[in-house]
Amino acid sequence: MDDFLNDFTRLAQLARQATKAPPIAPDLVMRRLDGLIPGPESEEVISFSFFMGLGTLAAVAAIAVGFIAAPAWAEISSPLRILASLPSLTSLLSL
Amino acid sequence: MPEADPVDQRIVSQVLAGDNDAFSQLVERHSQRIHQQMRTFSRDPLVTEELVQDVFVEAFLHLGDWRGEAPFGHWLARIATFTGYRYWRRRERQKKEIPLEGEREELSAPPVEEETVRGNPEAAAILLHELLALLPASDRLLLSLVYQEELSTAEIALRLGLSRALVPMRVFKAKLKLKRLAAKKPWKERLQWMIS
Repeated sequence: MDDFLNDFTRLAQLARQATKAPPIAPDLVMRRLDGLIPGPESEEVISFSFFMGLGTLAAVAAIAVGFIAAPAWAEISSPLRILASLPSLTSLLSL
Repeated sequence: MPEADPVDQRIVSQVLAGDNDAFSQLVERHSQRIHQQMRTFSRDPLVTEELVQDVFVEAFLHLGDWRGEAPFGHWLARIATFTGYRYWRRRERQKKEIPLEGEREELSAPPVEEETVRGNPEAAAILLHELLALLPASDRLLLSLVYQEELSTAEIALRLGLSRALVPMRVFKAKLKLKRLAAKKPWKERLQWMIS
């Protein structure tokens, strides 16, 4: 094509004679894969943490429901308490 | 097209059946070739080793996609090409944000004498790598496939998923671009014997 590209082609030909790369130890790759593939043991760990998380979530939800429901229950329960005290009122009236 | 090696087919079947450890045999069989290929993308031994690992991890995760019609090595080489290309693209993005250490050094690098390179394949490989690094990743990849991997037009088309007719045209354009870039400073001074 021209001088530059001829020189470039010769440079590439020479570069191809450079020392070949050695093989990679399979252990290196297998260690990387170990971190990616969930084995049976890690599955157990995953399910344990999943159920632990679920339990904690349920406990937190129960406490939250308790906090929300308590004032409401107080409101509902006050007329009931009045009703509950009615017999004593009637007994007062009867006096 | 050459056929798949029955040994590779047997190992792949074993891995797909759940024997993950059998994958190490595939690494053993193909790692040298992939390591050599990844040297195209970086001359840093730590980076190339990391890239080789990336290639095999990618291959493991998509092993079911290999249909066994073509050699396993061809399928792996394709993964390697795209892994390397993604690495170059990442580097290009980083360069745009912060000029890398190597680039600053390159600006003050001494001229490369013809005598230093002649008869010294290691020096030639480094110089070739630096020269190709002048190009954008897509052009660099094409010329690397031509000059470093010595692939034919048909092989390049297959590897990159391009039409055969398009490859020679794009290679020609990449060569012209390289010539233009090498004629600029600081390469003009560094490679006077090539550019004159």
